[in-house]
Amino acid sequence: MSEFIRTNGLKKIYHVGDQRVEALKGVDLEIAQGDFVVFMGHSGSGKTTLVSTIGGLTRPTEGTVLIEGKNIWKLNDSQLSNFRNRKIGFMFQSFSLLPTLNVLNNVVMPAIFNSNSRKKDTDALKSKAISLLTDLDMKSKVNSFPSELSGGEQRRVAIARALINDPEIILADEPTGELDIRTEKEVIEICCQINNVYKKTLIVVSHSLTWLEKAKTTIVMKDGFIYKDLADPVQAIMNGVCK
Amino acid sequence: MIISLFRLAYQNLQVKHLRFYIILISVSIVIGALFASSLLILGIQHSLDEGLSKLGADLLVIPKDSLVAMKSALLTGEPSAFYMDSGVLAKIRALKGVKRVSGQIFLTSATGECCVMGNSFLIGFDPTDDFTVMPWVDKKADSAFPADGAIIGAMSPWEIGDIVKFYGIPLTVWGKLERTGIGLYDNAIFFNIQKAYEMSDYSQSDKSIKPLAPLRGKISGGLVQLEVGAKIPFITFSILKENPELKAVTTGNIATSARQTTVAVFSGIIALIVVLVLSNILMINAIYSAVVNERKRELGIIRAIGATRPDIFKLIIYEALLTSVMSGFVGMLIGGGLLKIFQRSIVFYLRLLNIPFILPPVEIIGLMAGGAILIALLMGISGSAYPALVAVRIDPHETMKQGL
Repeated sequence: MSEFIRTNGLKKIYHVGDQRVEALKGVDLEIAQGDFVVFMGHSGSGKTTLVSTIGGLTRPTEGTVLIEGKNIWKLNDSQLSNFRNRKIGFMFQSFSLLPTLNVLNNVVMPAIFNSNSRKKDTDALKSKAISLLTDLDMKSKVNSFPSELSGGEQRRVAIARALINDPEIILADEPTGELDIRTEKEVIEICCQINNVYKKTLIVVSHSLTWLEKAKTTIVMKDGFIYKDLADPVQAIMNGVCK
Repeated sequence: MIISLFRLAYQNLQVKHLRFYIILISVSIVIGALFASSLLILGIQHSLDEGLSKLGADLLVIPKDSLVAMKSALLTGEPSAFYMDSGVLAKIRALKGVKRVSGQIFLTSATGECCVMGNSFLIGFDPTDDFTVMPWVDKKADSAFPADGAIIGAMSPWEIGDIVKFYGIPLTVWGKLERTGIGLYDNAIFFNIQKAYEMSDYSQSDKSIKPLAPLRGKISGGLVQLEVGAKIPFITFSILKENPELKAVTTGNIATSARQTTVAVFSGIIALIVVLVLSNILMINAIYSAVVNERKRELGIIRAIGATRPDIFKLIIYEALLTSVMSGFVGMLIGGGLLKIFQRSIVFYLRLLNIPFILPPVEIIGLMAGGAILIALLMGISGSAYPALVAVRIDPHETMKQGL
């Protein structure tokens, strides 16, 4: 697998009142194309900040984020929005569907900000959304509204939305948070398919150990650093190093 | 239908009904009031323009210090009396470029005379050189205009054949003018200028009534019609050069002055509407600030999945524009509808005040409707611009951190 994402000396400092919080303390990281990476670590370890920096959501205080060799934080706001729209599919913590839109419109939402899709035939866009929803066993719910869906169904719609612009990277922050065990397994299985079938680079932030069985790479974070010298990160997590 | 940014804005409006209806009702009231009062003002001005165009005169020549009284007479029909030497008519008539000159003399009737209610505006004119009264006779007797005949304005209470008596001189109502829209013509009684001189003579001899000034050889003003191609400023200059005691005004000047007077009359309403517009802008601002604050999560998601800052700005502005345009239409329907329903009462009331009113032409009403919608749009943009600017600064990462 070739190097696809690289971070160099990534630092992020927040100022909360008079307090200075170092969320990232110089993270060097490489992620290959097609990898399935799970970030683990306790709350406040810097997982979400790292992923949102890679996703073009949080500007780092220092360091670079290179995707396909291009420093995304050199882009202006419009270019960065375009980058997020085309290159990345987001799956957020908890529920993130727009309550005023039905399932179909929630799925096609990213396409309305995609300059290529704007020119596209809306029928083609609709067909693609329905095809994704069919793959996720949600075809019968295309006209339903988020309030009419279960938690697992809402996650599937969010997954379909993340895939609508055919991005190369899927960033998922706690995609199985607040789900029961059965639904969590379903969502993890779908994520595996996204990586295996759709060949997307999948980056997941989670506290759940269930992901460890499926991930190709596990990265453990603590206090803004990556644990690089763990011989067996899974075992380290199991042993409570990162808890 | 596949979603678009505009449709997303429309869908959002359907969620918070209460806020939508608050803005709708409030902006509708303002636009309704604005549309109705504009229709009234323009209606009054339109009827004045129509009336003044019916004068058929290019210039009005009057004594220098009587312009205010003349405007008042033209606008409201308020009886006025001012005089100058009738000899000026011949001098003006002799000027190159002058086609016709018609002299008129104004009298105020005495109150308490038999068969006369209140004050009447009496105008003597010369039927031989008249071009401003006779062309507008709407109804008349079968005979030719007699020496003791009177022509009454459209608002006068008498009928053809009635006999009215002023300063001891009986007059037979011979004709009635069509409605001109200018108070002077609609309320006056026109008769031969010789009868005006007789009235003056009579008033001097009858000690029981307040005498008129000696009027023989006097007129109040002259209406001047120019030859085609004659330059108004040049003729005005020529008149004033030879008669420095006179004032020559164009009917256009009077129309402008009448407009200013109308606007002054309605200035209170206009001021109230301006205050309402400003307070509505503040209200829209407050409501949309709350909307943006409440929808930080949603706007953060939209930003994260690829919306640019201008997209977020447009989303908020679209919502405000949709609401304000709908409000504009509802307001126009309310304003126009109320005006239509109460048109008779309003026209009746305005006529009691001697203010003419004719609805402006459809194309002008259309322009006003467009203007009302534009103002509603501007209210929406002004009110939502700041909250929209706040919305574009929402950090999408914050939404991730907050767990969306």
